[in-house]
Amino acid sequence: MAVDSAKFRECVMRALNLPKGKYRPDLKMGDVEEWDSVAHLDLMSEIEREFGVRFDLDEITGLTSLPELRCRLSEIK
Amino acid sequence: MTKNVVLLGDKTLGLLVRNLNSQLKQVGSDWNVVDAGYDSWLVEPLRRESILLEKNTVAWAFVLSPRVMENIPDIASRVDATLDHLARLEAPPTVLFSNFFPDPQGAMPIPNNLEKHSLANELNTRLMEFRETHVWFHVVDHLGLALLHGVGALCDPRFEAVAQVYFSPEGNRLLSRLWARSLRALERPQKKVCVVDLDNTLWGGIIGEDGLDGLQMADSGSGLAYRQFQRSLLDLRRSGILLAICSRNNREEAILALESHPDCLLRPGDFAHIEIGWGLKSEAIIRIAETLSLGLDSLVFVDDSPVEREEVSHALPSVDVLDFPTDPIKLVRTLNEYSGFDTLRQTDEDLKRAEAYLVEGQRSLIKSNSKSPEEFYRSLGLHLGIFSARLEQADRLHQLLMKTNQFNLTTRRMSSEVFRALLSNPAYMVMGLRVSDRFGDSGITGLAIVDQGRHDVWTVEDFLLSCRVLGRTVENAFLSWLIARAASAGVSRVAVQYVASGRNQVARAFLKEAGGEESESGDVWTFDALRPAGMPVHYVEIDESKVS
Repeated sequence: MAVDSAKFRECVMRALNLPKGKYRPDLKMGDVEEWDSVAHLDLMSEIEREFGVRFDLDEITGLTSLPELRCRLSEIK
Repeated sequence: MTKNVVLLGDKTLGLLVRNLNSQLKQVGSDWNVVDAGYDSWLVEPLRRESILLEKNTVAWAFVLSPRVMENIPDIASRVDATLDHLARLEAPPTVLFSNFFPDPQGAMPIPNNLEKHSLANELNTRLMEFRETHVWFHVVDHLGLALLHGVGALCDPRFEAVAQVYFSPEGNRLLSRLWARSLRALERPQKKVCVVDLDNTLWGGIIGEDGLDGLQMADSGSGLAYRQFQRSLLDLRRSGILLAICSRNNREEAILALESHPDCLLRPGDFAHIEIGWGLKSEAIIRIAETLSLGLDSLVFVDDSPVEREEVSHALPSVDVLDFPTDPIKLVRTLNEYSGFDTLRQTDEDLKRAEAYLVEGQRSLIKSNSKSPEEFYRSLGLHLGIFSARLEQADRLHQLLMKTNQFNLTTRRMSSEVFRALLSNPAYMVMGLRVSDRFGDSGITGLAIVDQGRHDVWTVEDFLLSCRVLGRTVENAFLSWLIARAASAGVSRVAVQYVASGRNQVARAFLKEAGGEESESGDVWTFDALRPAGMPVHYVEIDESKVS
């Protein structure tokens, strides 16, 4: 199923506490200072809550870029 | 000024640090939360960690997870060692320590779980005993959080596995709310009065329409919500918060319900003041504040009517008006989630406050029966105990310093660490005042901080009295005593500092009446210690045996 882009973007910005203008659809962990390993946990938990999904352990550690995250979301939703 | 609180834990606390800092910033707090990293709570790291000794670090917060009970075989002696280390510090910071809860997930068979519960109980008892004897030590209720939300809602093994965090991101949101409230309670004065409406607030139904029998506050059915609310109010009262009523009703009818309704848990005597009539609620609330001699910003108002809430919050912006839930069953939760009554410690005076106000009513009665003020004061048998403040009383005295607004000469607020440091500074005389009369002991209700560093003049930097003992010439008694003491020490002048706060006019009037000479700028009032003619009059017996 397609992922709602606006909702996805909003969720990422909120979880990472990202200022306007810093969001890019191809962002990866470490690209911006806001996305560190601590913020990554918040991002995973926020995406799970917003989209009603549950990641397994490997996904939590492995989904470290927005394209991968969106792709996995569209598969499991 | 930014104050650091250092988090010390067994697991990684990065998520908590981040959440806490953003929450505290939002409410304008001065706290800055710093992470000391995992396993930092044990004695060895406590000795090494340099951030703990930095000037801005005023508090240490121990945030422990249930894993310590599973991973450390001699956990009880480790906790003891850490407490012992704290107790031996020369100038202990404010310490917050989370209590323990067991994680029952995965423990098999059942008796193993029972053992875990006993261990948590034992550790928590130690914390409470330590808290009893160390005024700077506070316990943060992790156990309560776990009971309320469930251990399963606080932790998530997936996150624990990848990041060495015990509390999941969701759990961290709940945890950081608890810690933010605890830290805020240390820097904000606590609200003192809960003012409640009657109809559809204290009980279900409207007495003027439904009659006495139609009111709902029974232990079951639709009355339950109100019953639980009444129980919460009684809890508040027991912890030293005063209760008051503000209701639009016929007074006799409403009082009758309070006195005689079989299901009503609160009786008229539980309220420090009752306002029932048909006037504006904002005016009634002003009368409540005046009767109790408290500032409006000490009051919290609970009312189901949006119109009344709007009228009060518009007319009296300093009164906290609670959002009333649409479903009354959520009333208790609303009260629970409101942070204005938060405190980490209740002093003996807090616990006695509600009784003290009842006695105040009896005092007013004699006042109206006495022919002259002098006769009234004499009939009270007033007694003032002046004592040199020691560390054991620092908690209560610091609380007075933070809370007193009206009879407070300078309204200077300072952190408890700075205050405790003053107690051991030889240039300063810090004195507590204990007032009693034939109706009872009001406890520690006054404080003075005097700079005695100069040989020709003593400077009173702070002098304050709780409004509970004001207006009985106690303030005059203390000042005359201080002036006499200065004279016998060969000091020629006593200079009393005054800073107008907008609320302490009563303090300025006192300085003027007592015969002080005002400086041009108005910020110092000087008393000539060698000319005793100017002594202010009082009717108080003074006991100075505890002044060193």
